[in-house]
Amino acid sequence: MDIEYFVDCIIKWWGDLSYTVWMYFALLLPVSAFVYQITRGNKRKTVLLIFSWFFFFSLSGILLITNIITAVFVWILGKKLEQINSDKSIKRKARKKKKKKTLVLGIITLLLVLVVFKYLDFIGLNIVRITQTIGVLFDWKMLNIIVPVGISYYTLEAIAYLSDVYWEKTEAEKSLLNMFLFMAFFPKLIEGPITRYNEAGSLFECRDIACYNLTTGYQRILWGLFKKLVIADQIAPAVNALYEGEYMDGGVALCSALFFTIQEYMDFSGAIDIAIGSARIFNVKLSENFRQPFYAKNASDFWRRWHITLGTFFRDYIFYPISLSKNAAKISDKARKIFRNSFARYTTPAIALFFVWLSNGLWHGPRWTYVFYGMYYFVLIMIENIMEPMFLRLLEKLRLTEASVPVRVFRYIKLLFIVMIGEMFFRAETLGKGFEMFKSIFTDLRFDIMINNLENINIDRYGYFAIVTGLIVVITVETLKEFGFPLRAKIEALPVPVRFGFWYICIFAVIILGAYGTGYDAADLIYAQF
Amino acid sequence: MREKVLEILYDIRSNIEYETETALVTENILDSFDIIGIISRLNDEFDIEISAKEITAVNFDSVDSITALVERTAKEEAE
Repeated sequence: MDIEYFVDCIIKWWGDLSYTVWMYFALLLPVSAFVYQITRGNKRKTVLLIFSWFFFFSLSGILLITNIITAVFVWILGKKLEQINSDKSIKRKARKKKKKKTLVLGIITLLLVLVVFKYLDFIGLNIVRITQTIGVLFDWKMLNIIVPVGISYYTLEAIAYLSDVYWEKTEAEKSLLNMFLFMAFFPKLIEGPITRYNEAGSLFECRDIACYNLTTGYQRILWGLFKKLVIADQIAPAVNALYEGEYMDGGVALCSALFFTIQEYMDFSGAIDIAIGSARIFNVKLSENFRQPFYAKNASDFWRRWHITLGTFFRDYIFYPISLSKNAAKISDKARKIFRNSFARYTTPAIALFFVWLSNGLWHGPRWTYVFYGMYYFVLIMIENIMEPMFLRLLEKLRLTEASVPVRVFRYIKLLFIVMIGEMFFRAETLGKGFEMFKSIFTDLRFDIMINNLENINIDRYGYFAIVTGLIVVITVETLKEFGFPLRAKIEALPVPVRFGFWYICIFAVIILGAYGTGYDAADLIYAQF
Repeated sequence: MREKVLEILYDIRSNIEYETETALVTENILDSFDIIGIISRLNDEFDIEISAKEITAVNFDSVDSITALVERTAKEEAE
């Protein structure tokens, strides 16, 4: 058989996304685990790398080369940075300057590659818009470049690695094989979690697959599949129907936002559970990406619990460096002279926070709805920080504390609305459509249309049953976790027959309640597109 | 120096038991706005320049670790 034809068949077969999830579980994960276990030492890294590259190749074809080149580039630059760090023949100041140049070169190159793949059409179209307003005729031919899978994630990992070597927080990687594996490790490839290099040590240990890790890994995967198939994929057709509906009043707008919020959380956190569980099978510990986000007390706290690895990336590599830069200090001094009150202390964090949320919005993709989403949280978090002392004084006057039940309930409801409104814009086709939906909440709130819509949105009784049951289970588990109940320990302490019975029920729940077949795209991971 | 650091910490957030707390960053007791406020005040008070790379849990988890960071930074800058 012609090799090219063979490769083409594999890509076509694997490239059909509805197969990807099942092939991941039926082929990639078990076969890679088996081959990993029967090999020894460094060969295990090679095994993981070959499977990771195969996974990448099957999703993005020849674009695998971008991941490989990025790994080589970052590996060389990391070594260069370390070499400058240890070169005591150069004076401290000159050394710092040289180091900075190398780091800036690295970051700009990585960002340029990201811009070329993700943002070129967006930039071009906006240049056309601007030039049209000033009467200059300019045309942009859409390039529709195919984006390599996971580029937004591994680019951030590469930037974090270079910055950490620059700051001497981590040593430069000596092995190119390790760097290849770090950049392409298949469980975290599509949706993260964004992994710091100094937290990836377990990836290079290549220990035997332990029975405990295998069991807990598959249990975590099962939990992820439950969230994804029973809730996210069951609710997905309804979200599409609602957003594509011709007429949308305030009730439908709120309902759409709520459904999409549920879909997104279950889809993304489910995918992260699958990633963490898959990695655990190989004794690799990936960072948690969610911590009961809807139990947050405000928007800032929400972002410390939602997509944690992205939030901490922006905090460590944008917020802190900008806040502590000399230019920020100068602006802060001027602000103190002008305002002469407590607002001045918000100047520096505000500047840094603006860039954090601009980057956050743009990171999600080349759309103005995402930029608005970022700015929405920027404004909210600034208001929250300024208002927090006043809010606490008000609580004192009312003889309440932050722990009081009414205060907590008020905060949970407020946060749910904040998140829903954010998601309303995030999911909207255009920014204009997002504003229309938002406006309708205040001007056209009619629940009769919403009820009518709920009867015609591609969810049957069975679907509603699956979604409601799934939500009750997830909310119960999250509540128990939030209040420190040792759920896993309690399950593990159950007698063996009961424990096995429990896991069988879970497996069958996913099989029976999950969304499959035509109309459901099991592999359409929301965060894979970012 | 420890007393001064403690005074700054209470100025930034008064509702924390700094004398006994040893997980200020690890447990998210201090948020990033607090950290920036603390560093800005420490820089002014002790005429030092704490950089972003020093913002780690090890350096900011307790009043003692923050004091140690200030002492170390002052010493390094004097050399």
